[in-house]
Amino acid sequence: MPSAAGHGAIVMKARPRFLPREALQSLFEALAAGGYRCVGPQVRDGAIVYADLSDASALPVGFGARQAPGEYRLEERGDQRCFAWANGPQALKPLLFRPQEPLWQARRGADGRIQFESAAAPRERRAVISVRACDLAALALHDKHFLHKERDPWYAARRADLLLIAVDCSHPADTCFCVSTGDGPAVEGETDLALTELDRGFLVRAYTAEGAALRDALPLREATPEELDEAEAQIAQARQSQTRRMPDRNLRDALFANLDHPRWAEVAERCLSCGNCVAVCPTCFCHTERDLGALDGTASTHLRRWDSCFSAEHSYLHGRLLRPDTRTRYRQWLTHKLGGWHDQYGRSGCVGCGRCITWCPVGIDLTEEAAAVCAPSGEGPVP
Amino acid sequence: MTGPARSPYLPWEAEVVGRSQETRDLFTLRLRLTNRGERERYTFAPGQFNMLHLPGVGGVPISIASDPAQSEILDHTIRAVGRVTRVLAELAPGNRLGLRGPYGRGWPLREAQGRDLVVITGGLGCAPVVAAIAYAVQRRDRFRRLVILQGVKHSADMIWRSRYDAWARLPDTEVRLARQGLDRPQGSGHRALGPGPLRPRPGHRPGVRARADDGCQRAPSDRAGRSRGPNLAQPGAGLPVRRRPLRPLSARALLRLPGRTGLPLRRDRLAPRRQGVLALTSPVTRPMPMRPPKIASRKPRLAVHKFSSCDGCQLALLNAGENLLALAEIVDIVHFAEAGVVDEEAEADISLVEGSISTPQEIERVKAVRARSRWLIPIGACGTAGGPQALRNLADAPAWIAAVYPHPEHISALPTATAIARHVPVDAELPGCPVNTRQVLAALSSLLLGASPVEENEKVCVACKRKGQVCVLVAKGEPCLGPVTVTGCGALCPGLGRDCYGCYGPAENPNVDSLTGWLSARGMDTEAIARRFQYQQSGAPVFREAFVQWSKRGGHDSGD
Repeated sequence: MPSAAGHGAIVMKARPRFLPREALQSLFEALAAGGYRCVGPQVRDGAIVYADLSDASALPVGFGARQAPGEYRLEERGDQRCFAWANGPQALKPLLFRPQEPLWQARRGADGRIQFESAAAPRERRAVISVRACDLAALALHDKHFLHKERDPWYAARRADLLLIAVDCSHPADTCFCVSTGDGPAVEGETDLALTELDRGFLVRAYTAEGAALRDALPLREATPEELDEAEAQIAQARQSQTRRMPDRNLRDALFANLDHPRWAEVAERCLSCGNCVAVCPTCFCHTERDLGALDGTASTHLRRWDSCFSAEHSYLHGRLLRPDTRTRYRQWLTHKLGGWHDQYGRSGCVGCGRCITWCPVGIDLTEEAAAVCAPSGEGPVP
Repeated sequence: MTGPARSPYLPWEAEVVGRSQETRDLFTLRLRLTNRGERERYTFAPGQFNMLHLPGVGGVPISIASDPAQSEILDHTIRAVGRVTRVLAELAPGNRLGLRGPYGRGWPLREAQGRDLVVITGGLGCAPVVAAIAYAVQRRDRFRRLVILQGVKHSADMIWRSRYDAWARLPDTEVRLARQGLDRPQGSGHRALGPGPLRPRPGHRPGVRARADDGCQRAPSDRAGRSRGPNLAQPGAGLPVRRRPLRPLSARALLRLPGRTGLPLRRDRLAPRRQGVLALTSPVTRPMPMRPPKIASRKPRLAVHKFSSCDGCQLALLNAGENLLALAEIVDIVHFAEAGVVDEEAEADISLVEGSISTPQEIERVKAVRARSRWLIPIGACGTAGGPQALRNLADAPAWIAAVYPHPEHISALPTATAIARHVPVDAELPGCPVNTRQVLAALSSLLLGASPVEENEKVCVACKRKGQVCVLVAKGEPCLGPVTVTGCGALCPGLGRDCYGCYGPAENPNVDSLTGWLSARGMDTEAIARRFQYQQSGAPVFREAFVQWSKRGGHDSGD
């Protein structure tokens, strides 16, 4: 098992060393030598997305991203930075919890008997470069969900084969609020290797044995005190740059005390009930299932695929929709994520990544909605 | 399967070993796992449920209604209400299906020991708790008073009368049955629920009479064991019953027992529903009273009919390649002009109908097709919403005909082009311009297994995000209609970097006002917004309304 992060102990204290920028390709070479398929950020279709990547030059060198409610635009920075942007629409979630995957096949014989066969769990060592602190927090939540008593075989297999190379978030977007949820922007463990990008290179810290092995394959030198100071100042700046905030880390009681708040109807006027927020959320895990049958009825494949509490099917029960309108669907989403998760997983389901704000086609801001619903009556949203 | 553990998602094969019809649409399937080892290992707690899987159709969660002490036989009482349960209703002893479970927490009966046990259920909600009641009855000394309340909408839904009867006769046990509203008229074949009394226990003090307006009835338990007596409309008909009105059993106290779902108690769960419940079936489609074709003696017959259309949807089937050959093995294609098979008069089990109704002759013809088809399924934008030719509905069609043709009297056209469902009842609809092969084959495969096609009603965004495509609206500012358009195309256009133009028509619960307001606030021209809704789906009411609204705002003549 290459990676113990998330479900193993952190095996060593991280002590940063320095990797010169021009030596970054050595990281890719070490990963290739270790037999890892490498996934990392790159520019595609106007955004920074995660896909197969084997070369440092394919990273989004010199790119930044401006984000606002309902808007995402790439920007040219004019420098050599590879990671000077906040998260794009996705990172880890689709790699571990596939948007659509077969769970089993069924075959029906001529005698009417049915044989069920599980879809094989994939085995492939994968390394993901540039995982941010918010996504590590989301990963810890998904671990709790998918690796509980009955382990999800597919998630578990991919998770066990995953090597994490995190990057401290130096340039949060305007939509980010991980400081208020306590999940970022600095990486503080739960990863195999962590990088801090500075102007001339990278500070490298290893947290696990696998991470240390990888670190030791890189041409590192001791980090200077100036470089350590620069890293510290950069994170402090990243923290201060965040203006959005979640009103509180635990809104459970406030939300459930306000189920009839007029704000739910008001947000439903704007909400498209399109499910984009759920799809980009790194912690949302709802799925639905579909059977794809052969025309002759002898074989079928049972698929699992991402669902959203904004779909009709999500609340379909016994010929009816329990949540027939957007008011009840939006309320379900927010009260579950910010309220119900405390009971289920011991913390809020929001890690402050801000994706749902950026990728909402009409720019609905969950921090604003949560503040409005939870504010004492007569007060507006917390500015 | 790699690794030692069996996937928790993998069903076991189960065999139907018994089936009973409880009411018109309620039935019980008695199931037995075919794997002996698993059958012996299987245990469940009262209140738990199983997932029942019909391969190729789907799965449903169904409570286990039988005794946990006999876990090798699992009873599932089911109402035939959706596309999966309707097929389950067709199963007979000997049939196989998939079963996995048990799931759910079960009722906290251990915690209730030494205390009163109150069981309140409504309708088929009694199914998951009969196992709990059986559990308590077998361990009667561990509980104090046992109160069983069951309410139904109609007396026809009052199943398991003999069980309630038997429970009512137990010591220190109270059974109350109630139904809401009036029963179906006499002659409907359903027995009225009479106010049968509880058999008074020896030494029991006779109490008040049943009041006509409390909607509360007593379990029928006359000596013959049959239901009897008049309906509640006749006050005072009840015999002496226990003095224990419903009121002291407050909702809060009662919910504490079964309400262990891990969710906080919500006020709106107790309050009457303020808003109507939306059925998944769209209003234009028939609520599927008839069963899908189930033909044992011959091959199912398939017809493909064409009305006012471009034939593009028929190509979805014609271009199915090997699947078309496979289909031809399984069904008799009795009429499919595009494929060279012509017999428009042929009777068919499944009729796919392309095109809109735009001439008087087509009205008569579609009625004839309806009469000859067991399942009639319009396909494509024309068949489901009128298609591009429905643009004439926004204009003065006769005036245009008069302006264009030298002899308009030779043109026989209706002033509108409308969806098939406007003229005859339909059994399902496949939208799209055109529909695609995957969509049509999935519908046919479902029908051939005896199930209605899955009604896809998600927005395009959901499919787009599953494919990992970057949102063209957010990242490029394109006026994408994905958030209000129904899926089915696989988010084709955004995958090619362009905006969705809504060719599959409006999705369920679309918020066109919000999306168009957003586009307008970001500088999109009102006329351009109106035009977004003027393509293939202008006949769909939601898009037509958006077109009319934005045309007005732009001072645009909706008749242009």
